[in-house]
Amino acid sequence: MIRGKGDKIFEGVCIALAVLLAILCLYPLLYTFGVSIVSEAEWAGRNGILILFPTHPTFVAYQKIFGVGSYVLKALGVSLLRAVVGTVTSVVINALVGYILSRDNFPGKQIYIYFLLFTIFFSGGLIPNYLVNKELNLLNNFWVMILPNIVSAWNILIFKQFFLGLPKEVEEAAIIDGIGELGLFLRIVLPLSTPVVASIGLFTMVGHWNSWFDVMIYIDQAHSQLWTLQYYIMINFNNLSQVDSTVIDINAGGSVNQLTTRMALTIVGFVPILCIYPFFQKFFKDGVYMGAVKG
Amino acid sequence: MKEMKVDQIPQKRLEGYIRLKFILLSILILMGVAIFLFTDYIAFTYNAMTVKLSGAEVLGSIPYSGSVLFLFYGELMEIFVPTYTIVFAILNVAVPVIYIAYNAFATFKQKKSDKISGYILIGYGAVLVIFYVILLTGNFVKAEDPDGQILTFYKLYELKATFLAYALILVLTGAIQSFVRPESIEGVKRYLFFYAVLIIPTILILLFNVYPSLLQTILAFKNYKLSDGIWGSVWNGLDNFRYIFSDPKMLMVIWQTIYLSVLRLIAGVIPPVIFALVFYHITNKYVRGAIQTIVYIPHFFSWVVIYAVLSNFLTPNGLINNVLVNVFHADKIDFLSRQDLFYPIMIWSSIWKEVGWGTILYTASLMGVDKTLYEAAAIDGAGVFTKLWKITLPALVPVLVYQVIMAIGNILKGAGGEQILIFATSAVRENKALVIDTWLYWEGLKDIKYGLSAAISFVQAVIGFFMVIGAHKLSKKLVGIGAW
Repeated sequence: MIRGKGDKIFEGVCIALAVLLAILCLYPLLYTFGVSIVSEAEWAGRNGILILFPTHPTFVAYQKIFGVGSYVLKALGVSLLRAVVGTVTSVVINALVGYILSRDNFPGKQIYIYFLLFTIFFSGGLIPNYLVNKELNLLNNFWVMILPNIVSAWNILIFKQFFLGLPKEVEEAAIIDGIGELGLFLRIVLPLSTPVVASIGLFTMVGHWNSWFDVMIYIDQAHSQLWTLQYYIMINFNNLSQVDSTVIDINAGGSVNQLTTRMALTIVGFVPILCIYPFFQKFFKDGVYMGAVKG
Repeated sequence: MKEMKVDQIPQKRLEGYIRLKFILLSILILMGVAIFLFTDYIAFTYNAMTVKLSGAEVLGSIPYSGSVLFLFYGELMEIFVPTYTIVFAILNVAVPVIYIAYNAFATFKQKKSDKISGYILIGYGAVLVIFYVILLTGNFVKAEDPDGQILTFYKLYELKATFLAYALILVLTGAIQSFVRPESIEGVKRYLFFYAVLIIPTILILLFNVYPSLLQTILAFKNYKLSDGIWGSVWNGLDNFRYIFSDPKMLMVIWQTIYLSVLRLIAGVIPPVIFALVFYHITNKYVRGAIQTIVYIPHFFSWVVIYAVLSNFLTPNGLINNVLVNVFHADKIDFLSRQDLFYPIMIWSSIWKEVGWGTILYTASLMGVDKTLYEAAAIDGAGVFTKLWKITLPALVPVLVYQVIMAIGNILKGAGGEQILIFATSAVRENKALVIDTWLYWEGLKDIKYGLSAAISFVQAVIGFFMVIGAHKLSKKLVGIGAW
């Protein structure tokens, strides 16, 4: 490629801008970690001006939030359980339905696709959903976080689109070998579909991990053992649903201040995502997600 | 001569399929009858007491001319079940029994699958659905309360959704009876497992999607009172909609929703496009890959976490204020409680969260640009900006147009209610922070304005539907990219 001087300068500017953006994305996260390990003495000594990491880090805040009878530990458990159960059920069902709808001689296929499109356009608002969950006795129930979120028409259509794009020859060969429809799906199609399963799995899992709104609506304080971590963090910062303050009183006196414990809590809220992110990012970098965006 | 096709399958196998069809449909319809008999059919609500009656219990009241006795706080009470609900209870058992008996005759004596009985089932199912709606909505259907007063049926009774489920099972059975030929079982057999799998998502969609939509449509035209329940509340025609489009506060809520949606649209398009171009011009693919990996990260964080991270900097004891006070000896600024700063903080933080991830769509479009175009342009003496303007940007236009059109289709839902719920302090809750989605939570749910809430969600859904369909068509026509 022919590159003039102008091109090189322009590329330099672009690299500078990109690095700046990357720093802007990372710095607040690192700073949050810095605040979570600062001691009360150092914080006061610096007048609260900490640029990145404290010189004498302390992990008292983490000991505090994970201490005996900790809400955080319980909430973490609920969040993990929710993420796993929610993702597995959702991916299994949506992938199967997507596969079924990708078989071109499946009777009734087109009708079912219209049925799915209906769900994209029409869903009850907040209040009808609340009333339905109430009627189904799902209030203050773990399954209220799972069942309404299992079927996703978008994900089904993405799966379907991906399966349609798989080479037909392999499938035909397998059918000639006498494989059944289910065997075809499990043994031929699924192994070829790691990218789409991984991407959708990741997004579903992140969605479940990050959920707090449904917890706020459907689970009250008497059932706080079902609170997810994100909701617990939320009420610590913004007590939207006026939860009794004794529940959220993880504030420590002495060695660390309230800000520090809150930031430790925040770190616990996003580190799990950072941990799974590297395993999945190669899949959506390859452009699988593009099919998703365009449907 | 319609039966000609049947000749292709041996008579023996065909008879087998006819029997199989009969048995499967009998099981299906008996399941429907079981649902009707043993789950709640009607609920009677009067003052503080609720009595739920199953189909069997209603039938059991026939010898006592419709009287049902029950204990209420130790006191024996009596209600009379309205005649028409008894008539339906009898028919709901009789029709399936006659259907099964007749088809047993057709299957085992005449050796053929009957069509007429299927049409009759469809017809009866349709009648049930119509009566379901009439009983629950008609002002003219009367019932008597324990004090002997005549009231509208729906104020005293509620027909449970199982009644509707029963009617739908009848229609389904009838449709299969009439329209599915026994020999097509051969084709369906290969996919039997698939049909079984589809039952699960179908039930979930009916419960969590279709049924709430139905409730929403009904509530939107009612003046909901908690004590009266959904069915007992009075119909008020278009009053809810009139209120929404005339009350100054509601108009403000709608206006702010649109305003924020537009702001978000701009913030969601321009910065990602700029950075997609920036990344595109980095030739070292390791540098580019590393930077992309980093900037995608915030997209995966919840608004809760973003707020927490942000509060480090913006709260009165956050970094910015600490620097202001201790270095510049200035006054503290409570950023999060300032009305004038509320929208800028929200928009900038959402740019921070989504800018990196937003580039992914445009980066993919840029992948398709033919590199030789640049060489040709360079030979013709084109500079950096000429190339950018004439080659790179035009490649982005289709997906840009698509993005903008789809966002406009979602204009009543795109205000970002979740973020606002977290970011809103008490200073903005009554004004700047009110958009449709937050109003639904703060006032609709908390103050039990269910009718109004349903009406506004209904408007959201209907306008969204037509706008998205229109946007899809427009986008297909303009740039060839559709939403599905």
